[in-house]
Formats: sequence, structure tokens, C-alpha cells
Amino acid sequence: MKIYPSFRLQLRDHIPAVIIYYIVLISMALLSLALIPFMTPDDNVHVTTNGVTAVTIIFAFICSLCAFKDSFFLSIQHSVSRRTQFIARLGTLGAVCAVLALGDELYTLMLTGLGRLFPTVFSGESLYQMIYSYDGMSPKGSVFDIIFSFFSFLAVSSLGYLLTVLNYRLNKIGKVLFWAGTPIAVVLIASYISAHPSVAGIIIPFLTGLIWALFSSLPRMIISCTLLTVVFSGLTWLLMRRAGVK
Amino acid sequence: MSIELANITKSFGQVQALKGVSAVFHEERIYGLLGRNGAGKSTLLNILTGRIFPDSGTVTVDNERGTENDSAQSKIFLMSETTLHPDFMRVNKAFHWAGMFYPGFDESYAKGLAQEFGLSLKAKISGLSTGYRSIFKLILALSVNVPYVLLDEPVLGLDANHRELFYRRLLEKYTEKPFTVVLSTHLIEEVANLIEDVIIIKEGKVLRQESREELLSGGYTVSGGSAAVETYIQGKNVLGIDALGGLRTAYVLGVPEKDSQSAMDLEFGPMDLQKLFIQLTNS
Repeated sequence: MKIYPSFRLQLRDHIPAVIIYYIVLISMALLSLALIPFMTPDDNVHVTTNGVTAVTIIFAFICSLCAFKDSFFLSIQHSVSRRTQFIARLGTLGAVCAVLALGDELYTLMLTGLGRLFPTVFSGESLYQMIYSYDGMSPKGSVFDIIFSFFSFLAVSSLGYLLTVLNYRLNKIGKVLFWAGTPIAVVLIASYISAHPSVAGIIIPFLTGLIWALFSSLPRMIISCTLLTVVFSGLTWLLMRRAGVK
Repeated sequence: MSIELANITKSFGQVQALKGVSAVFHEERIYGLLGRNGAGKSTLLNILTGRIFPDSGTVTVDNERGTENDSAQSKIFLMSETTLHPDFMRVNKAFHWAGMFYPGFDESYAKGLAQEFGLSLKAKISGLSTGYRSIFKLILALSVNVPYVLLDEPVLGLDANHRELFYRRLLEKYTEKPFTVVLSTHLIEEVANLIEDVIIIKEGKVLRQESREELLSGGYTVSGGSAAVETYIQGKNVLGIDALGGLRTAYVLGVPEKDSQSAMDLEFGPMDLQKLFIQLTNS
């Protein structure tokens, strides 16, 4: 088994992107800090990084969209089976999501610290605090922030990876049908629902209820994201196990 | 110890690339995998290394399942026409990764070869010319130290000097520690003296699999005036005839009958691998 080298190979795809991402975030904060002496109270400037995890979720999704082809080809060149690649991918997924969750928390803490020094300029609140503990009902703390971020990243990254593997497996016609057909279908369905209040009356409460049932508390969110990760990863494996070099 | 392919079939849409191919690559032999364009050579090598899946049939490596098996596949290295390394990767990084995946990879030997061939270690793979891409992949193939090395069009884009250097280093490596080499190439004359066994594929089927000596000893050439040659080959198994003015050269299967009346004024010679290949694979 070549799991460890395959894990390192797949991790290599993410490391530079993650470093650059946090360099950009920190640079923006430092730039704001450097501009403080030039600000007057009349400028009314306020730097907020509330819910940076929302941005990182998009970043994690894009990262996983770009993660498949290069490492798959290089692994095949080095005689690594698809099964080993998939297992290594799960490890990479966990490692990258953990680093991102930790990175987000450190960044939020940094901004919170700056907010104490310059209360009128900086403020920082985690996405978890904004969603779950704004009312003081749910527990607060870095551990909860990290757990929330980790499971969010896990679900979106596995979705991104599933989409990129699906895209690889599809032929030209399939790609056109999927990538053009999906948004068209969404627009058509949305238009149909908005044009038919009776249908909207059924579907919208159903979706709201579903989201409430799945994500209304941190434990529910953890279970839901884990299930989504399992489903997305399972589908990825089905697509990957017979993927050939094109 | 060997790689065995049994009843491999593979289709791409309407095109049936392989039609029940069975072949064996024994250990420590140099094979020539010969076939015309589109005969199915690359498809066969890709199936053998798990890059694509056959529609039916099995691949066995040293009595182990060959497909989707890390232990079996780690004994094989395929240098293919397609470069699977990312374009942004540099040569030295590619060597680093080869070392990670193949414990037997000799990085210092690879760097030495790179210097001999004039390949810059810092060059990006995307920036390499066709010839240097081939050189880069050949260096990997010669440095991984695995029991089975498969080379698909190994000298594509290489100049004569580099081709000679490659054949020399390949033979040195083989002499030092024998391993199985499968050379899939169209430059038959260049490898004719290098290969020990020949597998000829025609239209997705194995036409011949035997040692080069056996294959060549099964036939001979006979040359002379057209009338004399025509008379001599009457009733014989003739693969083909080359004509040049009034002269004819016939490629005949069997044993030469030098003492027969019709053999007078005729010249007999050994069968040439390339000529034999052309005659065997002509439509």
C-alpha cells in the first residue's frame, strides 16, 4: 500500500493554496492596522471579519474542485491503485479541513484581540457564534468554533471533490448536459414554484423544516455534515473506482 | 515470475482495440512489442498497468491479481507517450516523488543520467521539448529499479546521439541487473539486435509471440532475377515479394532449398525482422 506517499502527494495540492489564503487574510488585517494612524473619527471606518468561515467554506469548495486530476494522473504514473488514492484522499480531506478550521479560529482570535486594542475599528466573531450562540443559548468557545468549521469544510470539500470526479468521468455531452442543465433546471423549478403559490406553500415550508431539522443545533449539524460527507465520498468512490486515464 | 495477460478485450466505442489478447512477459527478458499504428500496443500496456480497464480478461503479475493491486503494480513502471506529470512540476521534484513511490528509485543515478543527456533538473516539464520529455521519462524508467519496465515509444523525438546513449544505458543496466523490458516501438531496425522475444500485434490480436531467433529462423530471403525467383517460390509459403527493376527478393517461410535445381543463381539470406514484420502485418 502506498497510502502515505499518496496522502502527501494529495496534500501537496492544497498546501500552497492554504498558505496564500491566510497570507491574504492576514495582510488585509495588517493593512487595516497600518491605516489606523491615518484615520480620523469622522472616517467612520470599521473592519469586521465576522464569520470568516463562510469565506473559507467557499475556498475549501474551490480547492477540492481543483484537487483531482493532477494527483490522479501522477498517482497512476506511480502505480497507485484507485483504492489507495481514495483512502489517502479521505486522510487529506480530514487534514486540510482541520488546518482550515484551526486557521479560521486563530484568525478570528487575532481579530478579536485587535478589536480589544482598537474597539472602534476592529471586530471579529466566528460564524458559529453568529449562527448558534448569538442568543447565548448555545455554548461559546474556540472548541465549538473549530468543530463547527471542521464539519462544514468536510461536507463542502467532499461535495467539491465529488463534482470534480464526476466532471472527469463525464464525456463531452454529459458535461454540457450537467453543467448547463443543472442551473437551467434550478431556474425553471424556481420559476415554477414562484408562479404556483400552492406548490410554494408545500415546498418552502418543507425545505425550511428540513434545514431546521438538519442544522438547528451544533450536534445536528455535526451529524448532518458527517452524513453528507459519507454520501458524497461514497458516490466519489463509485465514480473513481473505474476511472481511466484520458 | 511473469506478467500474464489472458483473453483481454477492449473496445472504444465502435472500435475494438483488443480482441482476446493473451500474452506472457517472462522475467529478465527484453521484449519487442511490435505492431502497426492502431494495432493495440499502447492499449495493451495501459491495461497492463491499470491505467484503463479491459472489457474482459485478466492481468496477473507474479501470480497476483494485476489490476488495482498496489503490490503487483509497484513491480511495473510504464513510460508512456502521454506525460502524466503535472506541467508545473520540475524535473527534480518529479525525481523526488518517484523516490517516494518507488523505494528502489536511485536518485543519484537519475541525476547522473540527466547530466549525461543534458536535461536540466530545474526545468519545468511543460517547458521540455518532445525529445526531452521522452528523455525525462526514460531516466525515470531506468532509475526506478523495478522488475518490469514497459517503454511505449521510448525514443520519440530523440536525436540519433541520444537514442544511442539510451540503448547503451539500457543494455548496461540490463547486464548489471537483468529485468524485464518491453519495448513498444516502430523503429524495429534499431531494436532488432536488442530484443530477445517478439510479440507482434495486428488489428487487436497477437499474431506472433516467440523468441526473435525462432521467429527469424522460420524463414529466409531469396533474391535474384525475377524469373528465377518466381520459379523457385512455386509451391512455397511466401510472405511477400519486393521488386526492384528486374530483381526480386522473396520472403519465404520454411527451410531454404539451396541444392534444388531452381535455386541456381539465387542468393539466400537470413530473414530480417523489419522486413518480416512488414510482410506479416501488411493488409
